[in-house]
Amino acid sequence: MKNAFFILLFTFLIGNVFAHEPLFGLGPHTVGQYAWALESEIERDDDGWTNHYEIIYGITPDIAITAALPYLFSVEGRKGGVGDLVIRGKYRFIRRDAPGASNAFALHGGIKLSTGDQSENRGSGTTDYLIGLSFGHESRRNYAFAGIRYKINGIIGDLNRGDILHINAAYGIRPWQLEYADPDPVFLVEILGQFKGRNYREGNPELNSGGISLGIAPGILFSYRNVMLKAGVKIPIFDKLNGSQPASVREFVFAVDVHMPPFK
Amino acid sequence: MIKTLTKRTLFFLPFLILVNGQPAENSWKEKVTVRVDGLACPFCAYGLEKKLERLNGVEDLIIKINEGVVILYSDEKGKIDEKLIRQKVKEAGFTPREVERETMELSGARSNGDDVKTIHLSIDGMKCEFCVLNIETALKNIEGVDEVIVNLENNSAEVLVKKGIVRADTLIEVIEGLGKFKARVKKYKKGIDFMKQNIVNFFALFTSTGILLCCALPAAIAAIAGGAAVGTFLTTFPWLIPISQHKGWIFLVSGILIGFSGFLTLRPHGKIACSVTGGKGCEDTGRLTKFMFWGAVAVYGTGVFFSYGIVPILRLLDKYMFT
Repeated sequence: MKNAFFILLFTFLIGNVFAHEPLFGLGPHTVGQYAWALESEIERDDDGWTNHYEIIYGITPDIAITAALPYLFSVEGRKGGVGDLVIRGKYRFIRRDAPGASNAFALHGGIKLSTGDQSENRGSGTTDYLIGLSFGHESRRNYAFAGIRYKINGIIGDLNRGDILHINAAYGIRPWQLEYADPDPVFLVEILGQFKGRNYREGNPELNSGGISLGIAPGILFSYRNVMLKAGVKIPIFDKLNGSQPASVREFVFAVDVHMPPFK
Repeated sequence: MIKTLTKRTLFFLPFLILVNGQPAENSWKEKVTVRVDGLACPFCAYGLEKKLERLNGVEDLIIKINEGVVILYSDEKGKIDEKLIRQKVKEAGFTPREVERETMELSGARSNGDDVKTIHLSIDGMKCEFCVLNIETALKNIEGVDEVIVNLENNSAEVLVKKGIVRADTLIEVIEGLGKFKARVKKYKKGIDFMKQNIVNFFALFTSTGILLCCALPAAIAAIAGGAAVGTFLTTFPWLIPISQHKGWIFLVSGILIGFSGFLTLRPHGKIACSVTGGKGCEDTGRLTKFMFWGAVAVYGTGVFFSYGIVPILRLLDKYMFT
């Protein structure tokens, strides 16, 4: 259960939800050189509420780094407090702009540090890594995203947690193509797949670990100039988990994203 | 004027700080139109705006996403460096294309800057180009008036006057003295009126949707004999319970917001926002604004009905029809 909690938590953490991007999956957007953004995400899963605070900075027009610190609200068996710090990087290595449209590919990398208090169930106690690749098409009316990411879990004691592969695809639509200073709603639907490897304890596989789950996640992105509100819910549609494991749960995310003026 | 506006919208102050108004097309000497590829999303264009507005010589700028252009206005010809424009567009993550320059000669006093000011007027009663000509001629005959631009479509005028010589009252007197027009000084600063209206509408919709979730939806489900569904709903979203315990206050705040939103949306001079943004974009925004307002009203009405109305109605039905 504890492992499941951290897997779920990290699944959220590595999901970069900056700007017009999938809420649960990956996208290739960056913030622009010297620009920065602040984000606060409130998330709900079967382990309670978590609030992530993120700061994003654009080193170049195509490279952005993000630091994300979660605050985990108290639930039974866990006192509220700060969890594991995550540092992510994104490199948009291909960008093809056209009038009113853009296509891009980005490479993602990330590291989750074990800064959370493990004794209070607020940290995994391991350093985990992430690599990923994403594609995004954006036009005035339509959005399309696809992403794949692989999370390499660290070893804690005699437990070697299985790695996780995430695949996502998303389609979004902007029903009203209004002007710059107008409110801008975008509706999005995501298909998410998660392939969890089996855990190994002292070299032996754990029967009740690993498996496949699929979900669908409708969401809305509502921006007004430099402020964006995002909300979505991930609904499990298919589970094929090894052994006896609790079924995937519905997940909810609400985020506020504020794009700040460039430093320079 | 700004102070009054700030008082009225104190509640939204954080948003007003974060969200800036769109510049109006005021008097300018050079207009630089930059075609930008990849400009698809308003949220992303914010970085572009902030980059370009810091360029030396840029007095105002307008981003037209649907046309894929950024228009920069300068008081001085050739002051905005094209190389820097291209560099800033690239830094913002977009691709710069053609850059076109267009100049407009205003009368000499404009370039002195300190000696002149622009007075923005709203004028009611203009019906044709003849009215425009009539007003322009009358205003230009006033000593101290350097330039007059009357806009029939927006019912507005921009008058460039010498400071300390011509006052807005004088201009209004002259316009109204023509007999068929009513004039007043525009009571907005750049896009702030438009912005205020949409923010209020958004909050009205947001709070009324909150009411629907916390207080009306469970009541509605219960009303159709879905008690178990209500239980599941509240188990899934337990934070709705404390919200529903204070529903009176939530209804009150939401009602006030909707009232304020209605005032801004439906007041006679509500279309003033269009005099800032102009064109089809403004009309679309107006439709969205009204949609948000009436959506909030509908949601609020549903909330009120299920929170306060349905139980007495069911009791009355029980009392008079089923007993």
